[in-house]
Amino acid sequence: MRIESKEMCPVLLLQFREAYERSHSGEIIEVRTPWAAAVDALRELSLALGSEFLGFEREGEEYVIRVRVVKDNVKK
Amino acid sequence: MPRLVILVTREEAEALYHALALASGALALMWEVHVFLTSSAAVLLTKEVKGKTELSMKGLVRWFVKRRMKKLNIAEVDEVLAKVMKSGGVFYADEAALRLAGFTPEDLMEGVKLANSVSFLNLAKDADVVITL
Repeated sequence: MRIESKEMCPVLLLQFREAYERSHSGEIIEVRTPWAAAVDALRELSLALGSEFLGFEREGEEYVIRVRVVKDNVKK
Repeated sequence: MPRLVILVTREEAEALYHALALASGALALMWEVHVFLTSSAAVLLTKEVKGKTELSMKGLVRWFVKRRMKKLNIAEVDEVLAKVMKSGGVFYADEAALRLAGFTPEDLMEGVKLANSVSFLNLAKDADVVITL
């Protein structure tokens, strides 16, 4: 599942939530954003949700961030 | 599920935007989110206003900041409000503040609940994080 967003943190986080809710365990969510802060935000979000932060890379002006969804491990 | 409760008392865009940014983060963490708007902020949840509000700064500074926001793709406050509502954030308007501004409960946006001090205190008492703006 891919999220391509030029929008800043509040909207990007809601887009991630929507993608996370629609995804199945094991699926990879790829986020493309120009916002550097999204890297740490999604790293922390992945940890809190019990999912796996796979890392990020720069592609020009964009950050490409990947998260593997793990749904049977959600921290309540 | 952790619970975030936010109390907004000012109608400026800055206050509501900060509330919505925190609400978005909490929703992304799958938390329960409750946002209370009271005092001059309560009218922002009416069908007439729908979260449309201005920055507190005036004149050229406001124009410059709005221009920068547009250039940086920072969403307008009313757009973020609609997205947070759609994502499950629960919004409350204080009835007294609403009536003081000449509105009635029927004027509230769809899904917005009426609130008072007791409803806020009850939710805040058992919340994990409470923020006032």
